[in-house]
Amino acid sequence: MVTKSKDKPSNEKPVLGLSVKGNPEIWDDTFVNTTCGGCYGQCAIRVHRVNGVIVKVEGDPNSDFGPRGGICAKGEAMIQALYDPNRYNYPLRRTNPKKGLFEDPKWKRISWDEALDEIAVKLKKIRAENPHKLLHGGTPGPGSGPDLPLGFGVFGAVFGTKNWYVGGAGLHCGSGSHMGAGLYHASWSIVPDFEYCNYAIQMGSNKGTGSGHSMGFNMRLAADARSRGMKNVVFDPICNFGGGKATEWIPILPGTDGIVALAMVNIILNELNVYDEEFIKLKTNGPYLIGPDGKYVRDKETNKPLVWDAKAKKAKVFNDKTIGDYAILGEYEANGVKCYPAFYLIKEHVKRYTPEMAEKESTVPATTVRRIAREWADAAMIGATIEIEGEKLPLRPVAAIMFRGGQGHTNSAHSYIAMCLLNAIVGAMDVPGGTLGWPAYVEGHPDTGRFRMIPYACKDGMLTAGSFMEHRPWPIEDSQVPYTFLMKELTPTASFSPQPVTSDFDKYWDKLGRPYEVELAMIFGANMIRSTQSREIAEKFWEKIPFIVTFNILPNEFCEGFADIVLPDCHPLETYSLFGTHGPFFNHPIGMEGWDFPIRQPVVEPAYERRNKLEALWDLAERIDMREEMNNYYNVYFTSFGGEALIGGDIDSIRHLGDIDPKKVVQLIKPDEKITYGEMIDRALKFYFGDDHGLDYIVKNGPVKWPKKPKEAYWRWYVDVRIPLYMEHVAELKENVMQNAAKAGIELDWEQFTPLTSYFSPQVGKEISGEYDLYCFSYRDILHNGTYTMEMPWLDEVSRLNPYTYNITMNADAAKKKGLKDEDLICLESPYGRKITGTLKTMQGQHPQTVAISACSGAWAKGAPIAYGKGTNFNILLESDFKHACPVCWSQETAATVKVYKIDHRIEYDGAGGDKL
Amino acid sequence: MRWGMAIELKRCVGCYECVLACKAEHFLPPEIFWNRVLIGESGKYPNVTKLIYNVRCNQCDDPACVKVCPTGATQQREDGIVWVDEDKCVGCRYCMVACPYQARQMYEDGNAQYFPGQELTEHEKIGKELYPHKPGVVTKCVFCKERIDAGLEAGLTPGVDREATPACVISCPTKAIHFGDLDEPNSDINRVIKEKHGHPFHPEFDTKPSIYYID
Repeated sequence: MVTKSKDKPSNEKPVLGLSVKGNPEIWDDTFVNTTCGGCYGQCAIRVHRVNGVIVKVEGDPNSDFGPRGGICAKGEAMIQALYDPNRYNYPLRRTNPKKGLFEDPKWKRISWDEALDEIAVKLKKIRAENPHKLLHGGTPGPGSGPDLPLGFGVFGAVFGTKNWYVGGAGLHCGSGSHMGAGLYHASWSIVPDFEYCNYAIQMGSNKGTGSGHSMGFNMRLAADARSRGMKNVVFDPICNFGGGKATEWIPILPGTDGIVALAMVNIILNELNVYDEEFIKLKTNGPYLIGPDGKYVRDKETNKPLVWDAKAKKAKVFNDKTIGDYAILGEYEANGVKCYPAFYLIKEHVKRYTPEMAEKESTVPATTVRRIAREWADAAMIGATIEIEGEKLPLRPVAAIMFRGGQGHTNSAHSYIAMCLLNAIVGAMDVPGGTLGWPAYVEGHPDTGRFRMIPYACKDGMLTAGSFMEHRPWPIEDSQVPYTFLMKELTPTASFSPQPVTSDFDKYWDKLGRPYEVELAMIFGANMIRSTQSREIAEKFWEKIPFIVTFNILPNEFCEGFADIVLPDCHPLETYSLFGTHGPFFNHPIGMEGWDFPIRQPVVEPAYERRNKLEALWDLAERIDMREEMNNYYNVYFTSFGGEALIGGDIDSIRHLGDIDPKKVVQLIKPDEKITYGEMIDRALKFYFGDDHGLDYIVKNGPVKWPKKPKEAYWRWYVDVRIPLYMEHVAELKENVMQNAAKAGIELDWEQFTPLTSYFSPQVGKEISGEYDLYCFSYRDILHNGTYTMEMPWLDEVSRLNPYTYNITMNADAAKKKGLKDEDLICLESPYGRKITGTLKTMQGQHPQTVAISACSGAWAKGAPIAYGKGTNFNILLESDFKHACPVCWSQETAATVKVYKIDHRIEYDGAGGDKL
Repeated sequence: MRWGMAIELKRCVGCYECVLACKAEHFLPPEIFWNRVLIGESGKYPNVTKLIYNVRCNQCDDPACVKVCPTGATQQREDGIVWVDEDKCVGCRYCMVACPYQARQMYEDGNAQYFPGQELTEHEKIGKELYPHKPGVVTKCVFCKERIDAGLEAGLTPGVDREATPACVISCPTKAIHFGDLDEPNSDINRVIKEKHGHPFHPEFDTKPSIYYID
């Protein structure tokens, strides 16, 4: 027995909610509500400031926009980026004229005026000549979230350039998923309805276990669902984050998820004969009649697609109110041609995808595919309903989701749509228990009716987002001959483009006669070298750009190697930002979680000469006489969330400003006004939520909130819209895309331009041959986001404690067969001769034909001493060209074929200039 | 009154925030951890389970460390919290050897800094005022006793009110950690332990841990 002490330590004076020893003088003890900048999840947080110093980050316990009081390690560690002694504090100009991966910029401090004047001279010249000579963009990096459209998006769009390059987004983001989620959910991405879902399938996704997508509330809701007993089947080559929390982990080869989904669809439709007939008939283009040319059979008068009324036994336009019953199976004749309902064609088409064929491609046993398909069909409870707040709704407690891993391949679009088919055939889309898009339907604030976005039907009755960004999921725009550096106007189904940072860009640009060259690049908050494809390919592109300006908070490989001017940005804890996200369809809490609009505000004032990048951009705009145009654009932008979508909210919409009736635009900012970011936020908030809900209200009370209605959370049956299960638009695009591509000499895999969702072997699989026998992939680590988290000492400490974060992993038996063991220094070499090295850690939970690397590590920047040499930069292995991109959505191939062998040192650091490794 | 924790392993995703919340709360120096996340796996491919355990001082009811401390530095309060009086600790490390859970660490280098060779950060500087650590002594989790004490004094309930509850508990994004009074039969923590079959690690060590794990 031990003696228990009665006394508390005598010298401690209690301070509420803070561990304090002794009696330090405390003159400031404040909590500030703001949003996290640890990743683009932008959780609502409360930050504890003591004596002017941020001591701790906590979650906002009263907000649904996050883990309700919790936070993840990235959010906590933000404090160390804020106070990092390596931060950029003043504008800097490069004095070393040489640019390259390992070049020392030899910075010289300059004044803001000097920097902005110099940039303005170049901008003025370019705008007068050809605005496309400005390339702007960045990656959706930490803290940049809403500043992306409001700042650079608006600046570039008003300036007139269409060269908006979101580098790395193809690697970290999901071109296929943003295309598919846009088409099927009018949303940027999808999440299981954790509250009611009983059976979730995840394909190459860490949602709820590390993904930056709605990071906080996904973690919270997924934990509740696991605790409640939701079955979670995870197809993934590695049993780490998603797989590690699965109730069943199913190892799969990278890039083969699509065929497994299609085989399951086949079993469900053709063996089990299970599907949600009502959903197919009323919510999809399943009944639309398809003619011999693969396209809709259209009414000769109205040009609307025809369906077959099984009761009247005749063809009618799809939205004819007299239709007695939609035929979805069988053969019919309309307009004098033989035709079939689209659903029937899909059902017949998927018969080729047998579980045995899926096993051959993916290594998932055919028996497993059959079992999961059966379990899915049973769990879908087709016909079941549930009452939520007095509303009777369909209950479909099954959800299939996919993100970057599953669709980051050359078959991206088809793989993602194949996964969506699983949800669609059982009607599990935006209904309780099913797959939900981030909220696409918001009726607006109860007092004002503003901040309203409602999906609607347009061309051919298809679902159209009330607001979106980056590209229009529907209606699909026309294909054009490439005229931007990104070239994605060629294929309007693409969300992002790997161009122009590729090895084949010049070939196409030459063929087009090199219409112009980029003379200036303005990049924000991004690492365009380490977080994007092959650094050698990137180096060749960026070293040719005559002048590069970047806003950043910390040194990285891009700033050091390539920037001419660095402008010191504010850390997320030092600045304002409007809302946590761009709109509810991005990151907002799903299901019956409330509407919640946190904003970012400074917890400490920006030190030194750091400036909010938006305000700096406005200064630049003023120098080139563009401020008035920007003010006008902001008015259109904010008005568009006011009840009528004047623009899609997307960057592209700016180009159609001239079409907007000026009477519909509310003037929040006068043309000649010079307001601060804080003032702009205040006006926007008051416009959306009423005069008593301005910035002061949020500063004092935290986020503006109101309850969500069941109709908003589960909107699918409240809006008369359909989705294109049969991708007629892809077939329709094909001819034009081919013609336009030919003018640039571009060859794409034309077979993929088929309306019937199909499986195409991923490029990574095609390159497996001989000694190059392994699939190498990277995956999200919960500790990291982009590259800047690698520089935070707390995250570095725990990354070193983690067995996998900084190591290259392989299946233990597979490694043994190659004579490799834990702690060996190994080299991974691609058939293209690209090489990376790192330390091996073997594990059982990994597919034997794979090698895996987590996060975006392997730093070599001189200004990142904590990150230097830690982990392995996977991206070096990646090829970047059209051969390694999905032809339909332009996702890059994010896995590489490699051989593995032991090596004596870290060859990718040869020449880096730092410590030899 | 005996403070205890119950950790729901099914909820935990291994994000390490419990580790970092503690490092921020107590301004812990580099390489010092008052709690850790152990990650591994069990089974053979393809039947594998990832293992994630958040571990720290078990605040044992019958703590081995207190018994071996030659100077009386390691003490147990009436509420069960085991803590180290830095002024009395001579750094002999007997307690580190005695603790069957290896939950204690020696803090040796008082000059260690998070950005070696560069200036101390504002966070490190203020930490030296608000929660100084004495080098050369053994250090460990104290269940955020300062938060508990201040909270109780203000009429709050540890495990219910945020300000009175340990930092790792309130910061967990998956709500995996419960905290409360093990001596109070109707407390939430006792209900969770009972309903979900909470069990301490290595009960055979016979030190009566106050931390329970729920599979």
